[in-house]
Amino acid sequence: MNDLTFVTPEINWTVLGMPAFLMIWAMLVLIVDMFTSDRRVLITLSLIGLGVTAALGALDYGSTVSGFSDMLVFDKFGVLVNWILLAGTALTLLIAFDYMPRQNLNQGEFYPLVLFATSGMLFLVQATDLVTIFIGVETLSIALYVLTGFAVPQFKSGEAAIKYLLLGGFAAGFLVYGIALIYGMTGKTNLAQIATELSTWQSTGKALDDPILLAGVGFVLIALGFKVSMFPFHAWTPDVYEGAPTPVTAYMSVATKGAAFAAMLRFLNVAFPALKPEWQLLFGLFAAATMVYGNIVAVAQSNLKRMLAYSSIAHAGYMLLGVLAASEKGISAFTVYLLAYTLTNLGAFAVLIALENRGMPVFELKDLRGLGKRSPLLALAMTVFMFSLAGVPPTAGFASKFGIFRAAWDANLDYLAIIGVITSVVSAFFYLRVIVTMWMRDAEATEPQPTYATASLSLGVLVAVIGIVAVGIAPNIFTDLAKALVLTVAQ
Amino acid sequence: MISTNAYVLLSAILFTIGVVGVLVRRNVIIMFMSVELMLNSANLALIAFSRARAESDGQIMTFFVIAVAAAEVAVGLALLVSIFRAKKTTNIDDVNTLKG
Repeated sequence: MNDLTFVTPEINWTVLGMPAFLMIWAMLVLIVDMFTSDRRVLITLSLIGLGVTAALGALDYGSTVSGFSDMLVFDKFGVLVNWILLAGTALTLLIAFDYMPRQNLNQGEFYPLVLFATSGMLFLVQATDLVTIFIGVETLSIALYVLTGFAVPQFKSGEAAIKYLLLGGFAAGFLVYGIALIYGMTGKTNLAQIATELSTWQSTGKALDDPILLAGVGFVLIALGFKVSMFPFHAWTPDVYEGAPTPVTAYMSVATKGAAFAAMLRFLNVAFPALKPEWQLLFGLFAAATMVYGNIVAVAQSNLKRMLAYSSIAHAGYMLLGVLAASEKGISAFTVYLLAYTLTNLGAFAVLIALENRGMPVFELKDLRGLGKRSPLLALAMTVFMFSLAGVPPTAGFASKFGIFRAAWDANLDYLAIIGVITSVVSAFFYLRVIVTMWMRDAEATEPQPTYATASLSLGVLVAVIGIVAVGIAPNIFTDLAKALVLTVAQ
Repeated sequence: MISTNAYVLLSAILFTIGVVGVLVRRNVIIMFMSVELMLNSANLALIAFSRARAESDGQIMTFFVIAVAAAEVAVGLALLVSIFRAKKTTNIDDVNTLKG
């Protein structure tokens, strides 16, 4: 008889450090929440947790370590994207701090839930195995379903949550079935091992365009495309963004996208370089459709939250270009774009939050009239954000868009770069409309609407503006930095 | 012994039923059940492939899928209860204050 011995699995804390620490910290915050109702304690603890997590990434920065049978990796790309996600989360907490009690959503669970979602995102960014990709996607999704429904006495919030959950579950079904098919054909779930398996197929003359394998790859990409709200899997985006509490919308529009794009990048570049012509063609069409659709429909929106939702669909299209370029240039352009987009979009939502009254959830363009006179600083910040979203120099939006288009052009995706430039021009229309409304139209309301630019929110807006201007004025520093910092993904 | 092909075919049929169920049915509870059917058909495929290769990778993945499905249903049913309290319906077409 064999001796059964229990082998303790080897835990590589360098690799698991960032997501694991944040997850444990979130549980601690949850426990602290039982004993205190002081939200200042909770937000301070949460911000400390985010800071320590970021520091954990800096500790071993530069080394590439794989752990857990190569299911997770700690590399430069992963840490860089994780830092951007952590910064985005910290900004989200700052802009949500005074909003939640104002909307009567004072439950302290908000903070740990955001941290849980972020932990799932960090995990997803570091995942190099189909199993870990699945776990990362689901950890962040389930936390986000709850956050979307956080304002649940308001019916809209519950409706948005149930729509998000049903479609999210639908996408999860595709993800798992795709994983099953890929596993069935290659016998592997590890991304690098799948690539090795496919290259043996090539050398033995076995056809790579096996329909079942292609279906599996397609299913996984549908699921990830759903998370980044790529056309035609975007249908949930406007409803969910409108119904969710505004800080949650802001958070979803940047962080989820960043993490899912990072996973998509690893999935395509590490596991399926052999199928590159196929996915470049197919996803090129999707990217083009996403850019065109997002920008054109955004023109027709009068509700600001919905306009930003469609604009975020359009920006997903631009980020997809960086993923598709599949070159070092493309990947560094993608990280710079993610940074610029995170700062800009969070800032724009922060301005909306500063204007959002209790019991006045509808947010129309005309509500911005006369903002330039009422609170010039807020209007000035919004102007910077809109210029950056439109890609006007000297903001971060311009520098990052330029990098993305150049990367696409150099990767022989010139038709996508051209479509990107044209749609950017279209997008300038609705971003500039916001600026015109703020500065050149007078408010029709006789009594002035209050604004809620509280200390924490102003801090968040200030950080975003400084970041955007810094990236915009000295884009070379950031692109060089990103180029030097990134990239081990491609191998 | 039943061949792997038969299992995979069955899983594909179940998956299709699940997809059609989510797209066609309007009762939220049935839609949840259809999502579960999609996840479980994937489990079946994973286990069949795993058996065919005499490995355990696929079966381990199945445990993760089961755990995630349970978590998702817990959140989903809680939301459904709150919606039912507000509107006294489980029909998704009656839940349409957002313009879709």
